[in-house]
Amino acid sequence: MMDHILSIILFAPFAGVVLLLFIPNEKPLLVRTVAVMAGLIPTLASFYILYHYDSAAGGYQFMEQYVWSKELGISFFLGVDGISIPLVLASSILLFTGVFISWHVKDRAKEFYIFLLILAAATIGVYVSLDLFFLYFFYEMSVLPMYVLLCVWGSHTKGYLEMADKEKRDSVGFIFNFASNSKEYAAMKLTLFLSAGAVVALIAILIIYATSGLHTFNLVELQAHGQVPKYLHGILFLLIFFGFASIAPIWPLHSWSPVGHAAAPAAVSMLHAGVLMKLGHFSIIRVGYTLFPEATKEWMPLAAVLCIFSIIYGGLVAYFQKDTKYVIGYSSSSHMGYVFLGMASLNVISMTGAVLYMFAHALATGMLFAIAGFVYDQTHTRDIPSLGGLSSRMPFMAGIFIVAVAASFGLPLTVNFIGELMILVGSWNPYPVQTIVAVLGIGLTLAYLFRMMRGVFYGPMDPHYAHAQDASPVVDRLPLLVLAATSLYFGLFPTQFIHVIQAGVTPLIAAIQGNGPLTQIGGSF
Amino acid sequence: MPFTFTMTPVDVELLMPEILMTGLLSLILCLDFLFPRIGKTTLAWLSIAGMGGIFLLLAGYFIDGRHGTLFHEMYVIDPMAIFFKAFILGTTILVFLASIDYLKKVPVFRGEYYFLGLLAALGMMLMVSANDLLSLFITLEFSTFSFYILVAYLRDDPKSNEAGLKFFILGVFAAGLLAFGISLIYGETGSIIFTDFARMHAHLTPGMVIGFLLIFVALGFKIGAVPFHAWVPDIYQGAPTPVTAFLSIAPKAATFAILLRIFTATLGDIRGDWVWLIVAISAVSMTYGNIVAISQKNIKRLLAYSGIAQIGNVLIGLAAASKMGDGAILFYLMTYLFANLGAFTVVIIFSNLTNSDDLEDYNGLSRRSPLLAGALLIFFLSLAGVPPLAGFIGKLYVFVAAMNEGLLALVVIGGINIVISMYYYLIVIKRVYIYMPKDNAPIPVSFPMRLVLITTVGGVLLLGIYPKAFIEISAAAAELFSRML
Repeated sequence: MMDHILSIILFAPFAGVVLLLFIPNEKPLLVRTVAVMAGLIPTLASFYILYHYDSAAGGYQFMEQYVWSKELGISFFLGVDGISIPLVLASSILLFTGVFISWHVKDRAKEFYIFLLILAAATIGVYVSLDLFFLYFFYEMSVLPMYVLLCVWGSHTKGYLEMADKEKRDSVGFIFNFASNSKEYAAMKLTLFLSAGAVVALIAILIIYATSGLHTFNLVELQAHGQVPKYLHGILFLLIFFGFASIAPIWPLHSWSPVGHAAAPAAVSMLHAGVLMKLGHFSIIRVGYTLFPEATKEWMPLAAVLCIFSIIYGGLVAYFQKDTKYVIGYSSSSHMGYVFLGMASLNVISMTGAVLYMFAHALATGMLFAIAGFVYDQTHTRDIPSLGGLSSRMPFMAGIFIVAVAASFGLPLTVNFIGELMILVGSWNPYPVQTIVAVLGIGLTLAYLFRMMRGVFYGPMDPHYAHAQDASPVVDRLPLLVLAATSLYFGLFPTQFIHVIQAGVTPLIAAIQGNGPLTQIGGSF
Repeated sequence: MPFTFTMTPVDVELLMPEILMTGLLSLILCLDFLFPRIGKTTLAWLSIAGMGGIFLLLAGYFIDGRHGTLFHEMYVIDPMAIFFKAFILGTTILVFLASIDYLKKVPVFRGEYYFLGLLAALGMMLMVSANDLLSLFITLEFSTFSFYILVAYLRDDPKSNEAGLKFFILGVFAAGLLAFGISLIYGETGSIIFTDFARMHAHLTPGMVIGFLLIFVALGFKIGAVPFHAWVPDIYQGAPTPVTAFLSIAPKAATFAILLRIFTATLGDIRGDWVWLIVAISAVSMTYGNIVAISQKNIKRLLAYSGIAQIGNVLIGLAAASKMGDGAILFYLMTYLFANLGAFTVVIIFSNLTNSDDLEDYNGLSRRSPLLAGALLIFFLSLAGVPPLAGFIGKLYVFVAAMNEGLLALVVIGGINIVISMYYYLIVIKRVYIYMPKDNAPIPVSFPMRLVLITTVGGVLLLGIYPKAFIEISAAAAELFSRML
């Protein structure tokens, strides 16, 4: 059974989808039980993988391979290395907690869970695929559920309903109407943006397929024996970089992301910010770094420049937002800049930090979105100025929000701290300016998150919201406690985690740096 | 050339599907005339059963790998032809199933409908075997004539009459071009047999160029590629919806059989001379179809423009002109069959109740019938090319085939078109899932319709998730086709 553990992780949510199709909507508890199981199984299995990955041996492990089409050179090929394990774990945990977060979805709950499970499973699928075809397959598959989830179960941004008149909503020019704040607009923008990015990456993948001389999509084979002509490496790396970075999202391709976050229901925002955005970084590493190490070295300084805009621009915009979800949305795009900085530094410390930070950010931002969603459920507003003083009504949420904020800006004891520190330490040597700016970005994070905390939970309370309830004992508290506990646990005991990640990162960096010196700064933790 | 008509038992066996088909349609016609009290639905089920039998016979032929030529090489049976015959029969079966409910609302000539449908199917079955320009002309007209009548079938509906007339005039015009092209080619080469051209390795003379171009225009008209697409939206909109569904798939597939014979088999040696033509037509078809589809307000017109774009996608495979490209075309047509026919089935069911094809009336469909809404979602996402549905594999297959022949630009245009097409498919999905319905009446789905929906949804999912067997079938058909030249 343990030979097929990746299949179990990948197909448990799909099995949940199939089961849900046969359960009537009139049995809400059964629907949710199935969804919980579909989230719990991958979570437990991911922990198993984390602790049974042989980091001394390194490389891809838990591999499974089945020929899917000989004619096209496609095989269903699964495997994980140190870079994908944290992300698989994060996806599973966020799915598991997301099921609880969306416990109170009433409208067509069964369909909601079906799309949520497809979204999570597709995300996991990208992380475990070692075949370019399936990597793209799952990548594209993860985008479409977002459209339906946003459109049907999402929420309009404040002010939309006053503005919206039906004529405008139906017009063809709607997509270009940037003044709209509707969820349909957000969903369409997100889908088209990500599909366009995916198509750019697809073209690169097809060129790799056609020019490698192997006529296969098998990534491991391409890494070992691919003969892609040298003059194509640069352009292919850029296609892959910008194709996948649109989901990451790197400045200036980020504009779909905060809008999408704001429109999405809480659990979807969690998955979106937590793991969907990391598909971008992961795919760049998995495809771009491994296949074109020299082009990586040549072009990643570009990312180091762009990431500064992400960090500062995202942070500043987040500071001036009035909508809780916009704050968190922009904070996420800002924090993704750190990951790019870590990736661009191309040394073991910062890369390890980047991967760890992706995991840590998933937990922290998951908590933030869950709390924002809960507050919205209780008060039906996300407008920070009109909220306030909610800590007296919901002490638990206020408390856990402090943990989430602490995790988000990287307070020691949380896993975010370790990730952030490793990124900064590693990037100091190659990019001192960017590192200083990134440190300033942490201050910015602190500023906007504290501002939001004050605005929502402290200060005078609008009596209008006096009816707000605190989190119910199990359903609402469990997911947040799981996320907080995971963040603290790996903050205190990161050794196994870092060993696993380094097993994936070290050979990659060695390949990219070639015979040059391996920049080993500081010691490992 | 003295023409002697001799047929050996082997020849009869090779022709057996068509002979049986002729028997079947005569039977249906006679039953309808002689026993008017037989329910028309019974006739439909009878034809479906008959075609099912012939389908199985063809499947057997395919597995046995039967092949041969008849009538001095004018008529050829090879795996490719058998594949297309089965494809056309499958389409006809599904269309007949989808027609049963629709025809209950047509007051007269309901029996003839099935007869004409079978006649069109027989014409196309003969057409995919045509190995010379004369039998091409005859079989093409044979199948198209039935369609002229079918398109104008709703004689009290001016739109249907208008569509029939337009289709007829343009169709006859295309036939004229075809005949002119054939005469030019015969004048230049003295031959009309496809395989002869390949053997002659003749260099192109101006007369031949004009001849082949005229033939291509006529065939381009049949598949509705830009710039020969002008008839498509009006006729799709005016024709009875089951006929539209039929028209959108079967004749196009049959024409692709001919295009494959002409381009990859006959003119394969001089691919460099014509590839730009196909590339241009393909790129323009995709882009034009997708962009114009965005502003459509009628679902049949939307599907018409989406169909133009889909044909552009199939043409990518033709431009590749390789074994893999041929296989990709066959596979793509299968994915197109399931997704497009499924979408039209939803339209038929919906308009049976509401008498409307306006997109606006699809608002809130998911609250009226979750089954129809879910099916439409799957069909549209497949047409858009979203994994894990059939359309995605189809697109990838043609892209890979084109990449292998170095057609990067075409693949890039195809990729951009995926994004454009996603927009208008998603607009419809948005209406279906998000907007509130004006009328809350649930939409009943009858048994035959349910059968079609299950088949098409199953096909879309199967071809998307486990396409291995189907890729092998299309690759095998293409492989043997190229080897038998």
